[in-house]
Amino acid sequence: MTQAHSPSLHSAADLRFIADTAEAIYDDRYREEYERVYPAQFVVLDIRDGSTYVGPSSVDALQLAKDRAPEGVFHMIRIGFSSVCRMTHVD
Amino acid sequence: MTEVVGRGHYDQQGNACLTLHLSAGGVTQGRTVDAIIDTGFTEFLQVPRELASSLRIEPQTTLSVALGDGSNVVLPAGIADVTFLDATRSGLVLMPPRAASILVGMKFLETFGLALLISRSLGVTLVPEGLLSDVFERMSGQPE
Repeated sequence: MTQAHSPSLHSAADLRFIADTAEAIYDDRYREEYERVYPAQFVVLDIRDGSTYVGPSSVDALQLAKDRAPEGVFHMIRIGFSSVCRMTHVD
Repeated sequence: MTEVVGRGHYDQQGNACLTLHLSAGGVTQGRTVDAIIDTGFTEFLQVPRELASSLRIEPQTTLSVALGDGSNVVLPAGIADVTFLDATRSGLVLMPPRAASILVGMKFLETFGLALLISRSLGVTLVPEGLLSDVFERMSGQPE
C-alpha cells in the first residue's frame, strides 16, 4: 500500500483507491481459483494484508470479515461478476 | 386474498413504498421510515449517508455497483437490521454520498421471503413467496 494514511470510507478518492487496490490483489492472487471453487459467492478482501473472507451472501462475507479483522479496510467482490449488484442510477 | 401478509402504499410522487424499521443491530433504537421499492436495484437497501450516520450504521466496505447506463461506481456499504412485518433481518445497506431516497431492492423481498404485487386497483400487496403460484392459480380461475 503506497498511501501513508489509512484510507477512509468517507472519501470518494479513497473509495476508488480501496477498490482498485483490492481488485489488483484479487486478480493477482485469487480470481482464477475462486471463480472455480466459489462461483457466485461473495468475497471481502482486506487491502492491508490481502486476506480474504468468503461467504454465500454479502452479509455473511462482510460479517465474517468484521469478526476476524475488526480494523480491516475492505472491498467486496461477487465472484465471477464485475459488480456486487445493479442499480438503475445513483442520485 | 387471504394470503396477503402486508401492504405498502404510494407516496405523493406515485412511488410504491414500504414502511419499515431500520436500526444498527441494537446500537440505537432505530427509526421507522418509508422506502421506495426499486425493482432495478438488486441488493437489500439504499440509505442516505446522513440518515445512516444518525442511526450509527457505519460504512464497512467498498463495493462496485453496475448502473443502468453500463458504467460502474464504487460505493460504501455496511450492515443494518430491518424489521418488517414482525420479522427482523440483517442486510447490506448501500450509502451513496449524495443519495436522497431510501430504496428497497429485490434482495430485501428475497430475504423476507416475500413476493410483490403492484397495481393501481389493488395497491402495493405482499404475499409469501412460496404461495405466489397459488395466488396466480386462483386469479386465473376467476372470471374477468
